[in-house]
Amino acid sequence: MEATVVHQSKADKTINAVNIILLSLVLLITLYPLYFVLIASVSDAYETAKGNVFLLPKGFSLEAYANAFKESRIWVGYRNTIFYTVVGTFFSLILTIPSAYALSKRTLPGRSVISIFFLIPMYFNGGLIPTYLVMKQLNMVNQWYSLIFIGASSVFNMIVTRVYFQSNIPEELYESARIDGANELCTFFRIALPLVMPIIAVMTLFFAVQRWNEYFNALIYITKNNYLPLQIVLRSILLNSQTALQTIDTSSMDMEAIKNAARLFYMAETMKYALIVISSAPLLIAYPFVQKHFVKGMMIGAVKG
Amino acid sequence: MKKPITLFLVLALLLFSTSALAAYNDYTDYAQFPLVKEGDELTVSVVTNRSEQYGKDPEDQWFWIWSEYATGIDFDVNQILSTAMDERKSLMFASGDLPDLLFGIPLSTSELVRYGQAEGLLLDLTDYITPEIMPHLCNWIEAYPESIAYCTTPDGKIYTLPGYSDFYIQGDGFCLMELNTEWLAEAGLETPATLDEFTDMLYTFKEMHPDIYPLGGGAKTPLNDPRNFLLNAFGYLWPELQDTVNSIGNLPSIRNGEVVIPAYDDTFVEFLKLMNQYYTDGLISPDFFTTDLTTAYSQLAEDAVGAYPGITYHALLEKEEFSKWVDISPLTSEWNDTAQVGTLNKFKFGYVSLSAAVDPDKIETIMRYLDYFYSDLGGMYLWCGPSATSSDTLGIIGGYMVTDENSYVWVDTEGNQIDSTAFMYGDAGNIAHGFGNRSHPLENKEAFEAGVTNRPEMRSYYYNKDNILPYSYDPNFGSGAHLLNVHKYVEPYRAESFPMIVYYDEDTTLAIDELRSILDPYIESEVAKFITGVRDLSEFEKYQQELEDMGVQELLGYYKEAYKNYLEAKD
Amino acid sequence: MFNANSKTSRLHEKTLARRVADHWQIYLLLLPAVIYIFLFYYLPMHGLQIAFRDYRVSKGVWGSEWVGLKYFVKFFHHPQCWKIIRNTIVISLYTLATFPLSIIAALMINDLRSMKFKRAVQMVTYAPHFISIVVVCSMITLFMNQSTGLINNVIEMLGGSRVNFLGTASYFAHIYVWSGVWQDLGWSTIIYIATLSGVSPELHEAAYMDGANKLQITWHVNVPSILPTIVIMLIMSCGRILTVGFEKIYLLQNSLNLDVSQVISTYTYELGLLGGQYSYATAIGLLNTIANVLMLIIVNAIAKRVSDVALW
Repeated sequence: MEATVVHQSKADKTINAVNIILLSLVLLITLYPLYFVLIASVSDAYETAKGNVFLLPKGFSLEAYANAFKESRIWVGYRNTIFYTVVGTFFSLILTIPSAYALSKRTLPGRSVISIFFLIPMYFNGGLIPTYLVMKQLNMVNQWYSLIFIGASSVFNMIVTRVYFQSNIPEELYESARIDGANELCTFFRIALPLVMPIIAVMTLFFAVQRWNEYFNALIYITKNNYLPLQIVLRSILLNSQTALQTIDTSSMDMEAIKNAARLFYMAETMKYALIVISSAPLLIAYPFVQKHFVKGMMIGAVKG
Repeated sequence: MKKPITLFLVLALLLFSTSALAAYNDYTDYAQFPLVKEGDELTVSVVTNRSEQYGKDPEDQWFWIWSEYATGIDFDVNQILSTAMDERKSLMFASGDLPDLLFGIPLSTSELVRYGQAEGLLLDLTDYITPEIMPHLCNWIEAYPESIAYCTTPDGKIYTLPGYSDFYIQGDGFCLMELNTEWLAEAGLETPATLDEFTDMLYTFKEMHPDIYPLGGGAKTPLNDPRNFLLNAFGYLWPELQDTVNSIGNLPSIRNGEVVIPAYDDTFVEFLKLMNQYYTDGLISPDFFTTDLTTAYSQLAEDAVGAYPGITYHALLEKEEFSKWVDISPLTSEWNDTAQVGTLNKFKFGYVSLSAAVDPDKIETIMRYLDYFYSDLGGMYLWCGPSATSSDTLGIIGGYMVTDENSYVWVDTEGNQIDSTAFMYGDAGNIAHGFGNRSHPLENKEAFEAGVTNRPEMRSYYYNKDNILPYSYDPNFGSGAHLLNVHKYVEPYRAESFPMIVYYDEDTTLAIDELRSILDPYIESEVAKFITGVRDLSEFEKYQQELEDMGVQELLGYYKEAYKNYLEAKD
Repeated sequence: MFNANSKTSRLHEKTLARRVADHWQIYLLLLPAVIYIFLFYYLPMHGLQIAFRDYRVSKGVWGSEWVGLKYFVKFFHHPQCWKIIRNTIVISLYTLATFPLSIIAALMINDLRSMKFKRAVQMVTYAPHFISIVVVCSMITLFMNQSTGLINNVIEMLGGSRVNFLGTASYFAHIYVWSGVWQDLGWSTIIYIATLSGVSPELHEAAYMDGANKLQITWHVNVPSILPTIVIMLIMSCGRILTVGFEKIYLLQNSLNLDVSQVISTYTYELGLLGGQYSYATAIGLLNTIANVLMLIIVNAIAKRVSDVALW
């Protein structure tokens, strides 16, 4: 928020300065490991392991990236993940936003009961095996839509959104809407939703990142190669390098093959970092564009408030 | 399988049949194929593993294409990534969601007991291992009778099929130690034969190069952990199974003819004293417990190590680099007069099973199919696929060729060389590498008469039976040099130890698993503490008492019982 | 909460049925979530009973033998069980203690006057969240290495002696928690910043007019506006008191820190998915859950009393 007041007291100036210094420190400390990931992904693996990589890459080589992109699986992974993220996030929002609004209505009969209904599963989980069996019966296993539905709900997000509705929409607004003759659904779509754009933006971001990084559910429920998301593909590419020398019967291999396996293993370290860049780059690149809406949403919220 | 593949196959066959006939070395001795009559249909669902690196979709794998072509069975293949194997295998059994055939899904003895014997989820194969249904397997069992014993669970049933890996020279193992002969020469020392000489050598290395830590390897790389090799020197003998190492001394071992758990044994304190000395005097790195394989290899690559407990040519690929590393024979010591190391297990099992819920009408067909892989040619197909001169390449792959320099290359259909490992693990049947006939020819009389004595030579035979190139190891290659070394320095010292494969009945398996889940982490952390000096060695007896309170005597009892049974069965 | 004998005058009292009918559109909005949660979470819930049975795949969940509290008792007989519980509590309480940091950071970021700097800080602090835990642990091992680690290099440069961070059990909790702060601090500020953005600037201006300085404004205007959010987040964090995710622990474990790094989640993972002892693993999970829920109920009740905000 740009302050509109022109003059500032000395105390304020000091506070501002301290603020900036502290945050700059946080920025640097947070930034360095990120920077390290970037340079490690193009450095020689042994140099990195020995701790010789500090500010600049050592033994610059894009081999790790080349190796990763050689795999056509990566593109399938990207395609699937984008699909799951976009459609899945949309579905998650459908589950979360309307319910959060509904629960924010203090006059709703059975509100506590319904809240508890949603909360219980957050803690009492039936366990992996029964869940898997039920998913199988619901035909959710190994389908193109599996990862859209599985893991779509987040009661945590629902609660946070509900709190936001409660704090940001005064009762008077609902009153006046009612007086104007609007019904509940109309109120929700026309009046409430536009006011909570910031939280919707936040939730979109939360769900999108969660979907993008999804690993465990895919591991359990998807075996068809065509449906595997990016994280599984990346992890498998990485792990194959790390285990390149251990899973094979080297006594019966020729030197060329061993050299290939050894080179793969050698590269595994660098691959680890390259894969992080590959998997997070799209998100990090997309973020500034999303942030614009964030800010816009925040502006709307502020003006209306 | 999809229609396009079948169409493609037919076209390919038509295209290649003429040319194939011309160079047709017909070694397709599968007289029992096809297994499904014309016009009939049989679908078998399969779950198999998929190598992370070399895995291919089943529609593209030569192995499944050929299997369908040869047998007429329609295989519905699902793959599990090897990294997800533990979880998915567990899930598969826990939800009862099993395919007809498990091909390449490794099952341990306790899993066979649990899922086969106790839960009844696996099919008992005993009735099908007969000369009428599985002639090749029965033949093979005659040559390796112990193999079927290794597959038999305590209830007398057989839930899995065996394998035996006999390449030519066995050269792998986990108790390896290789020495930097350059440094040895520089120090003017002979190869150490006793533990004291070994320790002195390390001290000399440290004097020569004070800034480094002469003994390499680390705790986070089980196969490259020097503690394995050193533990041997104290007289402990344990079998070298596929994935088990004894770096913390928690596996049942033999010492002076007695069954012991090294970490509980009285002499173990001497081992701890030695390791503590190494740690304090800087003979091993202070980061020993967090050193992973990449770090260990990087130290090796920059020549910062005098003794390395592992296979050095995996990190040193050039001849000048690896040829200075030589394996060292097991050591004797104050507590151990005989230089010996545990036997290397070549028997495998647990890679192929059938679900108990499979349609009874399919069983015989599936077993006949599996039987083929115990024939000489079938085993070859599992290992390295068809030779370039065979019609079984089906025009979709090139097969392997033997060059005049006696090296093997795998080629694609245009004759260009391809990555051999990629082929063997992606297209051939190595996804089930613990299964089938992986030894020299048993049935092929022609091959015998042609002088084939080992598996590599058989490979040459199938390529061109008129020109079998004798196989020998080339010391110019890392793998060859290494195997020759191990053969010379380690193999002569193999000795019988605790039985390699032991089945415990269901209750005992559960008891052992539980005891180990309590004892293993405790032993691991206490051993680390003793070695780094966090816990003083004078507390060793107290530590033994703690183990007793956790039930180590009971565990030892089970092992002693198993050993007793094993000895009795031998006589 | 619906109360039949509310303070409203009897003349205006509506029956429950009438009130429900009035709100039918609201219930419609709830429908997707209710159906989803029922199908995906309540249907499998019957599986919890395997904690009380000797689960056998062949017999299925309902057919397996009932053994009551056998596995619960078994856990308490495990020689390390109290150590495991203690480790879990220590790590999660320590993590909880860093809860205020994200609030403070959010307030600080919100107060920045330069949009460019603000955006830069946000972007950089969100990024670590995207990095996989495998890489984070790799970097930790690399930086804290005694012989070649960056941190030890700096220590030596400043005249100190090298420290074996990873090999000393007492450092484990610090390493675990502070690396978690590095990774999630920025991300957890998002919620607060979004809420803070809803504070109208007129309030700020009015406070300035009254002569308040920045700190006072923060305390009297900003904090109250995010108080509901803070309370909710705190309640939910307390409700996870015995939940320590297993992947990061697993990656940071080594022989020297096993004493303090064995937690409930790593133990149940080894037992369940790897060891096949589902009944036992489920029982431990259930114990874990009950402890969490008790905590949740207590904290929620306190919150209700002290503030107006609660989970239910």
